[in-house]
Amino acid sequence: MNKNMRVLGLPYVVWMLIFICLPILLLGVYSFTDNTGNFSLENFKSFFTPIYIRILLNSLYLAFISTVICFILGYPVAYMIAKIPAEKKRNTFLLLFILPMWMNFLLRTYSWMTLLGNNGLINALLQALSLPQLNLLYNSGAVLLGMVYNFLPFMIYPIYSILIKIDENYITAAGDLGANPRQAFTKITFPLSIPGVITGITMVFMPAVSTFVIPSLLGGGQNMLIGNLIEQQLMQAGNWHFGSAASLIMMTIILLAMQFMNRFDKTQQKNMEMLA
Amino acid sequence: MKKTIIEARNLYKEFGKNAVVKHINFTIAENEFVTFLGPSGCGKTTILRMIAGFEIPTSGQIFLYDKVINDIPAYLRPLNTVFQNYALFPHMDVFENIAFSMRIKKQEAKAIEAKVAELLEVVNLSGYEQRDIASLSGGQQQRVAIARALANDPKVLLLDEPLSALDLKMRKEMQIELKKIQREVKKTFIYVTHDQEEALTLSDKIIVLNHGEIQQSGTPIDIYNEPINTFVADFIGESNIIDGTMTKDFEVEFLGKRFLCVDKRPSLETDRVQVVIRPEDIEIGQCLEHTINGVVTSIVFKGVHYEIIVQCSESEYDFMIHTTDYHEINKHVGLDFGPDDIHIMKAG
Amino acid sequence: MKKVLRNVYLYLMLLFLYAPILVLMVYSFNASKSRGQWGGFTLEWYRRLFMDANIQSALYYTVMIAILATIISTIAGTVSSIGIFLYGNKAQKVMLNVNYIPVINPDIVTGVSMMILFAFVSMRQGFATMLIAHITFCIPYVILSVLPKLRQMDVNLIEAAMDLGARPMQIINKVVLAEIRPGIITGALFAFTLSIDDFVISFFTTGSGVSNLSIYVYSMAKRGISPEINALSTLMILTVTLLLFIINRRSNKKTKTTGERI
Repeated sequence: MNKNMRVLGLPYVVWMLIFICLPILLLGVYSFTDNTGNFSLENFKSFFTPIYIRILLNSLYLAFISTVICFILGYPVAYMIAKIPAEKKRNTFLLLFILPMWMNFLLRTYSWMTLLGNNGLINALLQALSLPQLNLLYNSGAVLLGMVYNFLPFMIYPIYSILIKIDENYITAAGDLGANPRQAFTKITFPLSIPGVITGITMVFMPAVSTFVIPSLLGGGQNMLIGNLIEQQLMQAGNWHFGSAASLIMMTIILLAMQFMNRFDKTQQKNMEMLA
Repeated sequence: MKKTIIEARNLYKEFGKNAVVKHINFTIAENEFVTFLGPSGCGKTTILRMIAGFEIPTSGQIFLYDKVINDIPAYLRPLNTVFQNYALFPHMDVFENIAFSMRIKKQEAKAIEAKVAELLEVVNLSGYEQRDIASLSGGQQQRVAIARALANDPKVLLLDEPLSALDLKMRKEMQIELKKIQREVKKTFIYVTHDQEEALTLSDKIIVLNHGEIQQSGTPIDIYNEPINTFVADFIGESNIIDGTMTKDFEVEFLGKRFLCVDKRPSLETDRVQVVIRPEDIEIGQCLEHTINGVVTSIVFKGVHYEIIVQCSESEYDFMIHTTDYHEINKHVGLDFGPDDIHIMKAG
Repeated sequence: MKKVLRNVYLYLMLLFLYAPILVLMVYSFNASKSRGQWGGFTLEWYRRLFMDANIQSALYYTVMIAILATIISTIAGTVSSIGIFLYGNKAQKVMLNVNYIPVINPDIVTGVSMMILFAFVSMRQGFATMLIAHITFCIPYVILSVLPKLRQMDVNLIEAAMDLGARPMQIINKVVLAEIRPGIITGALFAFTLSIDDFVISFFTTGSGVSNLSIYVYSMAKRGISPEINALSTLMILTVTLLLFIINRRSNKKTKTTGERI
């Protein structure tokens, strides 16, 4: 291999320019133009009105809450699996928890419809017990549940992969220096697992903010999120310029959030190198 | 007589069905530097981990002064450990690592600062407070680990092969440093190593282990000069071990010749013994009637001395000799040694 | 005690993760169309599924696109990795950053922006546009799997091959490809699973008449629950599980044999 063979990379550079860079450039162009193709800030102006702001805030709020819930449920799972001493049992548990990641996202969301629907399993059980039926589907709670359900494995896996790498000696050393098991966790294990937590948060928060499948299947009409707004503007309303602006705003928010999380991560990075 | 600080009685540990430490007894006195020495798998690290509280003995007791500490968890024992790979917390700087145990005890910030400064002085790292662990050399990490373990004023400091990750030169430096630190802080050090030279240099007392059993314990000089069996003789330094017979008190016969020695005839049913002669105790001279004679078969320069192999004419036994004189290969030589140089062990 | 608590928690969480899927699978065999009661065991929904022309076409497109996208993106990604690997630090960094965009960008943004691109160049959306989109989001994963293997590769190997008289193309064929093969296989598996599972990007880049299974399920699910989707879901889940099982066993076997060799 020599430098001449760099040409092998060129076709992909062209591909990236056309199919990665150009589309995002066009998204930007569409956002800043109106139907006639003239420069305009109208799309952004109409986005920043109460109705759409509420949609945006609602998306961020639900994504935030589902991330928090995933963290609260997922961290103990990752920790408990990592602490299983028998390797075979540990790997089996891990596999069971991350297997759903490979199952079609749509099917996993859909499966809740069978459970929550008005004539779904839960209501059928309530009826059998002569209890009043509940409206479980088509509300924010169902959306939140769908998010937690779908993205939980994305929280568990990165935290587990960090926890399993933490040298047992650190915990032993903390104990040796007088830390009881709880102190050893709060002062050593948890701080060392923060990079995994950050990856987990990113991997849950990002798809949760941008999803339109979950609200569309579980949330019903009145629970519109930013993902639905974009989908609706492009596929139904045909207002591509406004849809582009909404996409751009969402993309910016996500990139800023990632930047923010990364800065958190920077201080941890050298520690990670030691762990590796 | 010094006061006993750590004592093991009938200490036994097995992992699964595998006995690692087999009913051993030992005592360690205050301010002593004691080394557990043995090959890997001899149980020395397990003993240390039981003293520290990381492993629970299967049976037997460990005493701290006159209290059994078997059931006290590690974090409540007034002992601290320097780990083999240091186990310095990567997310804390030097200061925070050393301050860790004091922070756990919720000591005052002022007191912590003063103590850390004092410890850094002891380990020769003053001014390194804010340094990252990753930016330190192996030797410096080692010093931080020692300072961290001393921060809580432990009664005993446990050191698990602490120098094994360092290169040779650094290791020699740290040996001297460690001895200095021990004298300075006036604490009991319990040290684990497989390096006999390290053990001889550092210890007040050495406990030699093999297969989970104590082979011999005593001062470095005792152990080196009077090994109790072939394992100890072989493990501590290099030796020539020859089968022999005690003919009477202070006389031993081996390789067809009789020699004066300083040991009495042992009161055993057999007179068969093994004779240990250290390579540096043998002088190469002329072939004489009363000497063991042989031929130089190899000579290797080792820096300070030559290592010469002399093959005995009759028995084909190979003697190893360390000497500063050069002798040509194939030269016929006689081996000379005095009664003091002959160490008698029971046949193993 | 602690262990019991741990097991209870882990099994509860597993119940949470698997119960909905299991319920769905059970219902696919339910003769009664209402979910409330059990009307007896039936394979009726599976029969209807196999008769349904729409589903057959969706299945065809899903598999076709996944296979084509995997082959093309694996080859293109491997070749590009070698090219990128040979560039200097700075250029490499820029290329990798751009390559990373489809990975970190939300799917919906990737889908929408490609939809706009196809409209911009007046390309009719359908099979071709969907395939292009799939290739575009698969190549980055192949590169991210192959490039680390290239970096791990011992430079001496190449020099040794040159020393022994191999020409550049021979070096690539005989030395480099063999060294980075695990990365290529991982990349291909990544590409295949991502493509066969994709909904969002396909949804925005396809045209009328061309839908994959995900799109089909979505359009049906929006109308409510139906036993046929349950049957289809069951089959899809079982297929993925089976695939993963095979991959897992294969990789287990491999580590075992290499372990013996060492």
